[in-house]
Amino acid sequence: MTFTDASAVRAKLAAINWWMFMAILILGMMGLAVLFSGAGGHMKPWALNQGIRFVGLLVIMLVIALVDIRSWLKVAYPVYGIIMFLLLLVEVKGRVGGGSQRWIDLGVINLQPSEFMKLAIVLVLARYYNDMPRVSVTQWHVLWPALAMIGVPAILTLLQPDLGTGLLIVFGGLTMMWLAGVAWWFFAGGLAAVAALAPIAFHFMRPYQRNRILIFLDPASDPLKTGYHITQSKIAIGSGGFLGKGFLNGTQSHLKFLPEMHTDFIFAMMSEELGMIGGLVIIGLYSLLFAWGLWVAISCRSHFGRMLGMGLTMTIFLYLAINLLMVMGLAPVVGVPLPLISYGGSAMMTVLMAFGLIFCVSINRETRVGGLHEVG
Amino acid sequence: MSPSVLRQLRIRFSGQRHLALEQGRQRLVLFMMIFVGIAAMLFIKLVDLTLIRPVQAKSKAVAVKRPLRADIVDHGGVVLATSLKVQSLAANPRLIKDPKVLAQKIVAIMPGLNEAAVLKHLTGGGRFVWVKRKITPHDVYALNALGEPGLLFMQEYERIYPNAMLAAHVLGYTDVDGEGIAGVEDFFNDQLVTKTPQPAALKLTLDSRVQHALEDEISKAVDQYKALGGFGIVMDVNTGAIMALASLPTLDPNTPESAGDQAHFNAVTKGVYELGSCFKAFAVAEAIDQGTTTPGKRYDATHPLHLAGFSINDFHAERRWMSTTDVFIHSSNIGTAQIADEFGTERQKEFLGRLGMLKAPSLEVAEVGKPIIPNPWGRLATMTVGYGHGLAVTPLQLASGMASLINGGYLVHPTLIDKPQEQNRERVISQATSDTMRALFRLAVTQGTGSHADVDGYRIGGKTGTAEKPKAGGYAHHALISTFASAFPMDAPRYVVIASLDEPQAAVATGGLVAAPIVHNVILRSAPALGVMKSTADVDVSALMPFVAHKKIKKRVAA
Repeated sequence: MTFTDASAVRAKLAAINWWMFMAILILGMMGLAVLFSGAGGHMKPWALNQGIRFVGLLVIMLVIALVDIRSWLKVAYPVYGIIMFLLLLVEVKGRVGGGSQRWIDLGVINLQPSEFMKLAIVLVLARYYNDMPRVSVTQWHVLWPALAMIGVPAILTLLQPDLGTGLLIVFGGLTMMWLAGVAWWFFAGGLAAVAALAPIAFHFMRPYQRNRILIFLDPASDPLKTGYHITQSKIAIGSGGFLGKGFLNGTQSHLKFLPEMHTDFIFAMMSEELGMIGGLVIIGLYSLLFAWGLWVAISCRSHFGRMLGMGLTMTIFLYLAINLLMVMGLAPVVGVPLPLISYGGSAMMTVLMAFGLIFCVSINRETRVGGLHEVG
Repeated sequence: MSPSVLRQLRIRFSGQRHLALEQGRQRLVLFMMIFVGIAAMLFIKLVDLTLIRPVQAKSKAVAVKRPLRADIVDHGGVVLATSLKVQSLAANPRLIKDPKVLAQKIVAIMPGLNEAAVLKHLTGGGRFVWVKRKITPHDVYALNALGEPGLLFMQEYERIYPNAMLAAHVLGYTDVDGEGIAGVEDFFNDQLVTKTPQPAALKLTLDSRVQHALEDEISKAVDQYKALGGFGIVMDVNTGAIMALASLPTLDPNTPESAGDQAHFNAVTKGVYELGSCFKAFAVAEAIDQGTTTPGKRYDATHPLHLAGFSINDFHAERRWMSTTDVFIHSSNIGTAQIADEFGTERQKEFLGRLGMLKAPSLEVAEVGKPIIPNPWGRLATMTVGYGHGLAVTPLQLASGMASLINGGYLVHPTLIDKPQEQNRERVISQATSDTMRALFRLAVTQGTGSHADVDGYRIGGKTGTAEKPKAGGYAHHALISTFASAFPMDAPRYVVIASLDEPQAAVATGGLVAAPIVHNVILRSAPALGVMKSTADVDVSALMPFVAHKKIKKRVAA
C-alpha cells in the first residue's frame, strides 16, 4: 500500500462512485440536522461533535478505499488477532476491576474492540473462505475454525452484556458462512437448536434483558415502565404524519417524552419533525446503498472481494434493520443505533469503515487476489 | 451493465463451476429477498404508523365525563385531594344549524375563548364534542338562554388539590378525563373512582404539618445552595408509615401540564442514586451482626487501598489506624472497604437482598425505580458497595433499610396506608446489633461528621453521605448528591428523617454541611407534631467511647 504514485491515486479516486458518496453525505447531514433540532436549534451538545466526527471518518473512509485490496487480504488474520486480543484484554480487565468498563480510553476517543469486531469477523471470514475449496466448506475440519472465529468474540460480547453487538457479530458471521456455501442442513439444524435452546437462554438472561423481550411481546402491559421506550417512540412517529410537524417543531422529543432520543431512538424524533417523507428518504437512500453494495459484490472478480462486499453490506443492513424494527416496535429493544444518523462515534465509525471497504472492493473489481476461486 | 461485466458473468456461468455458482446464485437471490422483504416490512410499518393507524398520545374517548373521585386525606383528616361538581359545555354538531353565529354568541358570553377554535369544535365530525370544560354557573345560565338545542351541559367532577404543591409527588394527579396517572391517584385509581355517591376518603399516613416542614426546609436549602433539586422523607421506624415525602422540583397537581419535565419525577421512589457514606451503616451493621468485626476492631487507614487499578481513599483522611467505631463516625472509606471485604461478597448480597435493596421497593404510588446492581459483583464491588458506591438504590430504600437497623432489627416495609403493625416481623439483625447501631449513629452526630444536625434534647443520630454523581466513564467530581440520613430519638427510635440535595453549589458541599442542617430544622419544627418530647436522657454510648480516638465535648447547638 503505497501512495507515492500520484496518478494511481488519482485514477482510484476517479473510480470511486461519487453518487454513493453523496448518498452517504446526505444521510450524515440529515443526522446532523436532526441532532441540531433535538438540541432545540443549537449546535451543542450534539451536532458540532458529531459533525467533526463525521468529517474525520469520511476521510478515513476514503483512505480505506484507496488501499490496495490485496493488502486487506494480507492483514485479515493479524487484524482479527489484534482485535480479539483487545477484546479479551478489556474483558479480563473488566472482570478483575469490578467495574463494567469495556473500552480502551485513548484520551480523545473511547474505543470498544467489540465495535471493530463487527468488521473484523467479515474480513477474516472472507479471507478464510477465499482459501478454502467450496466443496469442502461443510466438512467438519473447515467448519469448526469458522465457528470458533465467530463464537469466541460473540460469547465475549454477549457476556459483557452487549446483546446488540453480539447479535451483529453472529449474524455477520453466519451470513459469510451462508454465502460461502455451507450446506442448508447446517443452518436448518442451527435454527432448530436455537429454537430448542431459547427457553434455556431466557432462563439465564439478566432480568432487564428478559423484561425487554416480554415487553416487546406485549408493550401495553407496562406502558409507563420498560415499554415506555417503544410506546413513546411509536407515538412520536405517528404524530409526524405524512409531512411531519416541521423542522425544529417536534413536541414529543423536545418535551423529552422520548428517551434516548438523540441516540437509539433518533428515527422517532426525525419522523415526528419530517414525517413519513423523512423516514422514506432515509430508507430510500440506504436501499440505494445496499443495492449498490450487492452489485459491487456480484460484479467482483475475486471471491475475497465478493464475500467482503456482501458481508459488509449485510452488516450495515443489520444495523439499519435492527434499529428500525426496534424503533417501530417490531423487534425488542436491544440498543443498536441508527447508522450515520444517531449521535455517537462507534456506529458511525463502523459503518463508514465498512463503506470504505466496499468502495475498495468496487475500485478493485477486476483485481486478482489469488486463492482457489479466481474466475475469468 | 457494461459489456465487459456482462461477458464476465457469461464466463462465470460456464464450465465446471457451473453447478456451484448456480447454487451460489440461488443463495444470493434468497439473500436479496431478505433485504427486499425487510425493507418492504419497514416501509409498510412506517406508512401504517404515520398515515393509517397513528398511535395517539392520549386516546380521548369523546363522551368521557370526569368521574367523582373519593377524597384523599392525611393522617389527621386534612383534605389533600377532593372532587368538586362542575358544569361543562359540550355540543352535538349535527343539531347546530348556524355554527358561525353560535360561535360568536358563545364567545360573547365567555370572552376568554378563541372564536376560531370554538367554530372548529362546532363544525367537527361526530355527535359529541367538548367545547369548554368547567364553566361558571353564570355562564351556564347565559348559554342556556341562547336556546340552542345543539348545546349540551354536562355535569362532571373537577379534581381539586386545595393545598396546591403540598405532597404533590405522593398524591400524583389526574389526566383530562379524570383518571389517575401518577402517585396515589394512579395506584388507587380503581378504588378512588366508585359509583357510591359519597365514597369514603382514602386516608394516608402523611402528616401535612410534617410534610410542610420537610418541603419548606428542603426548598430553602435548594435555593440557598442553588441545587438542581432535593428530596427527603420522614418514616416511622416500626411500621414503615411515611409521615412526609418530598421531591423537588415539584409541581402543582391542579395544573400538572404546566410543570417542567424534572418536576414530574419523584426522586424518592423512582430515582436511584449511589447514596455514598450513608451506606456504611449497612456494611458495619452486617459485619457486627455476623461477628466479622467488633466496634473495637482496628483497621489500617494510614494509606489508600489499591486493588485492580482502582484506589480507595478517604474524604476526611485521618491517616491512622482506626477502630470500627472511628471508621463509622469519621466516615472512612478505607476502613469500611476492609470491613466489607472481610464480610465477603456472598454474605453482602444476601444481607442487602434481605433488606430489599436489590429489587424495586414496593410503595402505594405508581412510580418506583429499580436499583442498579454492580455487574460483575466481585471483590472490588463488594468493597465499594460497602461505602455506598456501585449500588444505586432509591432513597426510599435507604429510609426503610435504616429503620430496620435501629428499630430492634426488624425488616420494615414502607407504606402510605395506615395498617396495624405486623405481628410476626422478620428479623434482619439482632437486638444487640441494633443497639450498637443506635449508639454509632448517635456518636456520628456528637463526635463525627453529622454534628450540624444535632438538636438539643431530641437525641438525633445519623450518618452523612456525599456521593459523586456518575457520568459517562467515571464520576463527576463537582456534581454531588449530599445526604444526611438520621433517626430520632436515638434512645428509643421513632422516626427516620432523610434529606438530600442534588448538586448543591458550595465550596464544601458535603452531606454533613448542606443536608444535616435541613434535618436539624425539620426535626425542630416537626417533633412536636410527631409527639416526640425533649429529654435529657440519651443513648448509652459508654461501651463505644473507649474506641473513639479524638473525643470532643459534645457541642450544644442552640435550639
